[in-house]
Amino acid sequence: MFRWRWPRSGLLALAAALILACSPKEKEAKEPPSTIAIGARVPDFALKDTDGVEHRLGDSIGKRMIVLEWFNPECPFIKKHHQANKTMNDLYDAMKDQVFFFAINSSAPGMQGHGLEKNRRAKEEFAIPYPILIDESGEVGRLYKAKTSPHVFVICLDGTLIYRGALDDDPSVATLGSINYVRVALEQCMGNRTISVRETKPYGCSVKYAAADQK
Amino acid sequence: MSVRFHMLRAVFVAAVLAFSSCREAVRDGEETPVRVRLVAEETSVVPGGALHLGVVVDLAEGWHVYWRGRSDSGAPLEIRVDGPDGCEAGETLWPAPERLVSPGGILDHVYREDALVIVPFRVREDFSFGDLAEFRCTARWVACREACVAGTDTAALVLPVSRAGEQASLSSEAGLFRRTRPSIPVPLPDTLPGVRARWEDDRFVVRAGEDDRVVFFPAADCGELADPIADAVSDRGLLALRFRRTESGVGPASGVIEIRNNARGPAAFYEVNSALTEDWASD
Repeated sequence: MFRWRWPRSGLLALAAALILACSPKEKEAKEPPSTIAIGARVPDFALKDTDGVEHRLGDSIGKRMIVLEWFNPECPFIKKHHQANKTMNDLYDAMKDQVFFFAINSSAPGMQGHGLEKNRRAKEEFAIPYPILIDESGEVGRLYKAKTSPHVFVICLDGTLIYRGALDDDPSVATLGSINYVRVALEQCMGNRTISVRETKPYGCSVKYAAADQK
Repeated sequence: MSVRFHMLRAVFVAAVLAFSSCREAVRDGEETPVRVRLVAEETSVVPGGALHLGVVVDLAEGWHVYWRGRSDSGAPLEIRVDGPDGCEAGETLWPAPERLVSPGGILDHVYREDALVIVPFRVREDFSFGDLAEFRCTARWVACREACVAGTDTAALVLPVSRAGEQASLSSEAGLFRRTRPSIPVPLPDTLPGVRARWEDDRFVVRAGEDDRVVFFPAADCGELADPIADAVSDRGLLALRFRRTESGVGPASGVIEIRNNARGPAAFYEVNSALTEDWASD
């Protein structure tokens, strides 16, 4: 008796089509939701800044505390803190002897804020006194599960994460909050005090990662 | 009243509506992805009656704005509608959003198509007859596509005032209100056949029909979900929402539940706000 059978190549093609048809949502859903635990040692990475100088996080650990700020020069929430106000520059001025600051831009090609020239201009226009690291593959952003620009990570001298979240307590695009969480965490860490707020919900533009299959 | 009177009145109303559609948007010279219009379900303001205004949020193709509940990024759409003395605004009615999952595990709850936000008004009995009533709205938004931009838009609407006790006619925009109302969440009733929503241990579990699509949209005051991308949507009629334990405990489960079964008709949207010990179980 004749039995119709799928040719093996047909099955493979069907499987491939089904995989391709998966929406980004389904792909993303398979990403583990785990984040770097507060108190855990942060993972190392190396990225180049807008002048082409490579910075390895591990080289800074143990020398000073570290602030990582996810950045996108065209995002209105970044403009709130770097243009309309000088939240980060003020923080830098107050703590530059004890803290290394790094901005990290994980915008993928074609997305808002991407591009060396754009970031060079922003560094100049916003007078940012610390390096902007370019992470266009989004590898470091995904490693840290950075979701918004800004999304700030504060690392203590021993290389452990002591704060993750928003810069301040006002998630609007226009006004500043009354509490600067990053400043509070840095001051408490410097004074060997308990960190009172270790995590907040970040706010800002979504980090403009490439789709998982475009990396 | 004569036919002529009604015709004149219709022409007058049309002229007023045409005038009031002139927007005074705040522009910076660039194309804005969001525009708002203020519309009314009724053609006039009736003293002692109800009036339903709506803010139509027109989005350029591919753009989205953010629901007022929880999202990983963006900022909620803010809408304010002001009317004359004697017209008191009720609670703003927000349609349910859509889920949007972006690369990097970023989950937002957004409006991706034009949306209507309804603001019901109660008109006082002594609201003066013969006047025109002017309403104004302001919308503040963050809109995103590949880029995110923030902006403000305003719109105005002028309506004629009818005699107290008159029946207001429906406007040409009434269909928009009718089509939007099913997407405005209502409180989950104590008894809802085939749906059960309750805490089971430290998970908030929603059970619907096996073929139902169930989605949970967390409100701004919802407890922090452990993995909303994976947990807050199901095509098998079962949600089990895990929460992160924080200093204030677990939960509450606060937000909107969507239950959709295309074979049975349009989706239904229910509000829930349940602390860990409460139970909305119904069979």
